[in-house]
Amino acid sequence: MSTLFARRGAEPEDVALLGDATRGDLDAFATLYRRHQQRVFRFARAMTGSSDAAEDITQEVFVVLLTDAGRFDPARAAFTTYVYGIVRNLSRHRVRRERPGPSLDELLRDGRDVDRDEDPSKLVEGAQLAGAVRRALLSLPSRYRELIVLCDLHDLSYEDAAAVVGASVGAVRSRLHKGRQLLRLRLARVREAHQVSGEFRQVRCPA
Amino acid sequence: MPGLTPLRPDDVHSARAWAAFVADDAAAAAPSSLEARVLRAAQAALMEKQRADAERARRRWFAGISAIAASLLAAAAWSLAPGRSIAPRALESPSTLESSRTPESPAASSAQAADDAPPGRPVPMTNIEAGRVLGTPLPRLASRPLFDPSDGAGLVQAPGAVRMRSFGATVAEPVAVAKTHGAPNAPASASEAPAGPGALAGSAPEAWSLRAKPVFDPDAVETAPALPVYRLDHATPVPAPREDPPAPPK
Repeated sequence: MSTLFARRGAEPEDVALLGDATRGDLDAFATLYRRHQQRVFRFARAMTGSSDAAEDITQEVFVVLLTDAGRFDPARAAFTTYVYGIVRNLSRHRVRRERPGPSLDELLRDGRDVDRDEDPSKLVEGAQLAGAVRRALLSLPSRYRELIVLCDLHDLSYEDAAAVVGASVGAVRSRLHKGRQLLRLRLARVREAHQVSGEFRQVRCPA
Repeated sequence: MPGLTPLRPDDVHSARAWAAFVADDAAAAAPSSLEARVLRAAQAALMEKQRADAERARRRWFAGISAIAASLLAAAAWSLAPGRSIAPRALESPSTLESSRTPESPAASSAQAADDAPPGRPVPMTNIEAGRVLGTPLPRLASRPLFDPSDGAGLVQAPGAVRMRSFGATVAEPVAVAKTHGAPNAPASASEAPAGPGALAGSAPEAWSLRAKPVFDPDAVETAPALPVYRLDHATPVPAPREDPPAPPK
């Protein structure tokens, strides 16, 4: 069963909660918030690269949900898709307003900074690797970044991602392929920067 | 080595980095203080929205009341206008209209035909009806013959029940027609004297020659005796001044 059908089983409850919240029921709004705040915050954080910005966007998303509830049409899209669409628009607006994202030079400089650590532990190394991926992801154009986050991080289907970004499934596949290629290229450049310090070794993995 | 697939260092690095990124993303959570902050913001936004809705509803109510008041003022001003002494036909009751019509009169039949006519077409009406609809003041209407001189009470058999020409064209006076209905000098049959256009246009039949193709003869009109014309502002019939012959119908 696709994720769309799995989510649509709970859609009527979301819609009912939203209706109650617009009529002033704050308990219903709190329930709605607790149900969706995690994915909203994660998506906003992945899109902006900042926890502070993700908090602001999360707050704004739920306020927009409450004040513009009339714009949601259950016949057109699932509630989760609608929420993802709001997060996407607000994140793009925020990124466009604040800064365009790190350049490749900045990304490579950060990678060299990571290598300067003398004795990194596993945790620190994981955080550094995650930071490197996050910076590489932020260096991608937003039309690739959002699809990588939606499909590879949030496990949305191509159909759901297409509904969120307002494109066809074919366009989603194409952009996703291009985005993955770009991300792999950026990560390879980061690895080259790591190889300068001789950290990485050739390993073999089970099939 | 069998069972093992050699991976490029790039893939390994990417996989490790991606796994670390996914774990970091899954561990990320909004701070607990964010919920209270969002609830406060939502409550404020909801109150603001309710206030805006109430303000919008109040403005809409005032706009409706203003429109109604303006309509009432316009209607009052229209009804109190000094030149509006005759109510237009549209405001007359159906019983009044029925009592003013004679069942056999062409005016009634034309009005009935106008009522039955499909909408969008011009309504054929007599001059009297047009005067009512246009709200012509009573003195102006009274200057024209309104009643049949034979009995002094009935309406003049409207000349040209269906007005076939525009208002700008020359209109024949209905005086001559009033006397031709049942007049002894009228042609006995249509074979002796073909019906000229005067029957429709309202001119005297003696103003038309008896030729096969009727031709208007103004001399015949000159010889016709003048008929008394009843006026609303006169208790007794007065002879109608006839200075000019009626204009020939086209």
